[in-house]
Amino acid sequence: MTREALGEFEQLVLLAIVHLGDDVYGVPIVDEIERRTGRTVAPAAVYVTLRRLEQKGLLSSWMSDPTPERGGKARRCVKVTRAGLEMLRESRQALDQMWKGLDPGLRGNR
Amino acid sequence: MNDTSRPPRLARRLLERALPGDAREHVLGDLEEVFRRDCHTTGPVRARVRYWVKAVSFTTGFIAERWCEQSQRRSRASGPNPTGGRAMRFDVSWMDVKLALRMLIKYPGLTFVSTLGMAVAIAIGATLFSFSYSYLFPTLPLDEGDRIVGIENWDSTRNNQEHRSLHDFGTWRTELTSLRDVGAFRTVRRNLVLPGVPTEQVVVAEMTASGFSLARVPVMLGRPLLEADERKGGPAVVVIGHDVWQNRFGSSPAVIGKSIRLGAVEHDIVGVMPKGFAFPLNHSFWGPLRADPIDYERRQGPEIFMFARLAPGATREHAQAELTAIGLRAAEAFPETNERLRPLIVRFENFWADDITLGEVNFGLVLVSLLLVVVGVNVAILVYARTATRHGEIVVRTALGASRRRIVLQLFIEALVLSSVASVAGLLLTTKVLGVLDGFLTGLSSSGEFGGVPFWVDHRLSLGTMLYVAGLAILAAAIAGIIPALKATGRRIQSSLRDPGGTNAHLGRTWTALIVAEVAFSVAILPGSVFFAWQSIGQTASSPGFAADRFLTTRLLMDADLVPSARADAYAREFDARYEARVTDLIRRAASEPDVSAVTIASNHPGVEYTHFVEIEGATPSRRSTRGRQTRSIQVDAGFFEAFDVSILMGRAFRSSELNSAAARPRRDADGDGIQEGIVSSLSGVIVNRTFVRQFLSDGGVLGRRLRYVDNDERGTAAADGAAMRWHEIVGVVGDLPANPVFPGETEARVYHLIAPGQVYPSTLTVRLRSGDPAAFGPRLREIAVGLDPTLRLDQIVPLTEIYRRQQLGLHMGALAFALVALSVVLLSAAGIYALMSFTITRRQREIGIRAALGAHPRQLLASIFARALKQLALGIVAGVAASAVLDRLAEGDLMAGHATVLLPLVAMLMIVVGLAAAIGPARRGLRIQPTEALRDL
Repeated sequence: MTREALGEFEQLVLLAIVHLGDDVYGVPIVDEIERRTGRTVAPAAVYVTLRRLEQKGLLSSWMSDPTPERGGKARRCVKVTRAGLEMLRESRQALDQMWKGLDPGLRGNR
Repeated sequence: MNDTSRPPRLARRLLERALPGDAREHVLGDLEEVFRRDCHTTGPVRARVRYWVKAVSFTTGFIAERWCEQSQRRSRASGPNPTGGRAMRFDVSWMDVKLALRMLIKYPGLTFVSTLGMAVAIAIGATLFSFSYSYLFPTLPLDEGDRIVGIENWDSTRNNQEHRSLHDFGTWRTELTSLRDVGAFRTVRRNLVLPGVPTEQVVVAEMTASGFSLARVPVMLGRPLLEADERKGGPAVVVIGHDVWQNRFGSSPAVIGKSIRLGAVEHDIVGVMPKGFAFPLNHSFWGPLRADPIDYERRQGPEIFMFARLAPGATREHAQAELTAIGLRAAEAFPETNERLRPLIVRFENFWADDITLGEVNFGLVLVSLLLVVVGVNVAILVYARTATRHGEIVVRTALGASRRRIVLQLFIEALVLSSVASVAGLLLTTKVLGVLDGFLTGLSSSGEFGGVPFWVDHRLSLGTMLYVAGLAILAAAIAGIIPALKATGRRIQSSLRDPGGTNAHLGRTWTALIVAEVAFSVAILPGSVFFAWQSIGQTASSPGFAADRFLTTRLLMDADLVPSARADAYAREFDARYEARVTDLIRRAASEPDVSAVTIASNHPGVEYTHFVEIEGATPSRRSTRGRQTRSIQVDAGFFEAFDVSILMGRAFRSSELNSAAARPRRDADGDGIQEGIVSSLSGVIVNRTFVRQFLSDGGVLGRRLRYVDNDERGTAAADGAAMRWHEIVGVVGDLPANPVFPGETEARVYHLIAPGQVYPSTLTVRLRSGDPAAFGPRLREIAVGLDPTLRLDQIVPLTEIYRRQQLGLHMGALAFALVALSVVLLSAAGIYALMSFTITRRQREIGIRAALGAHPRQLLASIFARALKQLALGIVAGVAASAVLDRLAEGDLMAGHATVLLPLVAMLMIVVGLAAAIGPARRGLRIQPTEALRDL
């Protein structure tokens, strides 16, 4: 059996991390998804997804130093792993294949 | 109270509990970061709301995640699932919760009404629970606190405690073997006089040394009190608390040996107790109890409170048996004093909240839970009406193999989610109420006998309260979820399988009975609730009708020594003379201050007088009470009315020259700390207020009429004192003080007597200031008083407005609670009736369609629908009015206070309007059904 495919929201989270680069944590990821998609995102959903992606080995994480503006609490920074990038690529290819040959009108002008 | 720059504490706590350990730190950090950003961009209020939303979202999100993980683990452990569905294998799935949440959003009206009703009921229960268990039945936060007991002497003649038990205490202390560290204390107040620091009144525990060994808390510095300190004539010593050491002595380790003056006596500090120690109640000063039984007759001497610790291996029953045996011996030896005394082992907290038993509190909790049951039944009706509209869905699910248990469980989860939301709202309300209650009790008890709330009280929400609320939530869910679910999935569901789209749920007597019961219940309890809420609002919405913010007021007390019985009378005379002289001096000195425009003395604060009953010569007896006419009574000096700008409307004012200094004086408390109220005055003339005339003398003739007191209340000396039974002639009428301009009907009748300054102990001194904040004059007034006599104490020195605020706080809380209960009852009843009516008519839609198809005229159909609805409503109203009348009679007319003729029709009208409004929509829909459609579905 093949690996479980990425869900739409998982893709959004992974892509947001890739966009943001290094030292990424929850708050900017939520902001990035909202900024790019224009939809409101429940932060809890992002954090749950981050945990799930890490359990699948598509993300790695580490704790930063605590800062006073966060009430002395540390950040959990995340990075997309090689496997994560691979999954993103596969998802993209699958989608491209599905879109291929469809009427340009359906594709829209986005 | 709340720090707005920090995220809401309760939300944070919720998150701390809900988040998994590995996610807690960074999620809380991220949310705090966002909170600060929101504070900056949108302001703290919105930021707090958003934080709450996120907290709930994270809590549910992570709980759901955990469930999914667990279900995956279980499904892996149990091999492949033949049905293929993950959630189908488990009784409760995240999907159920999600569906329930959707239901909340889909039916916002039902969600709002049910949540409000349940939240109010839960908040009342949680407040009572939290209050009872933290104030009245706590476990003392001391080593083996559950083995610390109180001892009291119960006087079966007076049916009260006898605190003057020095002799018995001496016996128990030496003879009891099942109790250790038998001790006693009494609370006194003294002026704390320290050089260079404003004088303040402090509460001192005069306690036996055994109190320290009983508490098992070692001193931080120096030594505790020792038995040797209790000897008469020994040096005056005191142990101080950590807060005093910190605030008054800058945490100096050299404090031991320093001296402080408490009243007129210099005391050496011998020890400092560690932080948090406040045994026996909330004390920060401990002096030795120097009361030798030899100096007093039996049942004489100071009032003491006794405590002890159960000896190792001893039980309360052992101790009680031993104490009873000693008590019987004492009764034999001293029958005249001890025959009716029964020594008892009681809870330690008894001296703070006596006479309340755990059984009574639990009974109260059961009653409150019953309120929730009533609310739950109402919600159940709403939920059932909703469930009935999902009949088709339930039938289809049954056909697809879902068991009855599965469907009932799903509906229960829906109700549980609803009641959980209500619980969270209820808990939020509870924290607010407890905060207010705490402030109220602190204010109330600081002026009371013991000077503050006890050290064991923790008004924060306890785990026990949370569990109780969780229990209530499950109870509410069981009523609101399971009952409708069982009804909706009953035997008839099988027959419905043939017709899944149909609406042939059986109607009839059950629904009629429910509608009738619902209407009857509402009509029965609504008028009383509405009236009480309105009355509470009326009482609290009052303003005193004069510039109360210009007055500073205080009670004038004076330290009294413990004197042997033999010298008690002589000492009392000396005390009275000294008190009178000091009060007169204080008035003179205060009046000469430039900021002061008037000084006056009275027995109470104006507006906070004691209630008495009077008989008026020549007046027809009161219809409502056989005890006479209820009025408030106060003794005032000659300058009282002028100080408050109260005008004489009729007759004349008091004159100082009328005072006869040789007149009978009121009785005085032996230790000088209690209050003895008397209506005794040296003058037989009295002045009454305008309301007194309006209420009792409307038949004409005021001046020259006579009144006398006919009550025999415990505090007053009215009937007990021969002088008080005499007739008093009305010599004048004054305006109302305080008045109630908002609700004039709530102003009370008052009678004023003339006294000389210091003639009543304790007196209330009121100072009128020319300008500025009256509280600012407090320190100066205290300085003058201490300068005159360090034993003269100004108790509760506050602006008069503060006295009124404290007075009304309780009423405000009562009014708020009642208004909330009344509102939720109104809403629930209206919603329940609406849902029931709407539901029954909906069920008849097909019948209406068929009858229309058969040629019935719409008007005929409408008449039949409304006739049935009206019949049900009328039945309910009749039953409700009857119940309400019975309740009103049981309450001797206090339930609606003669307003029944207005309130009952109003409520009946409301029910009819709601019921008919509910019937209109479905009836119109029924009439619009095409006859062909109605016939096709047959």
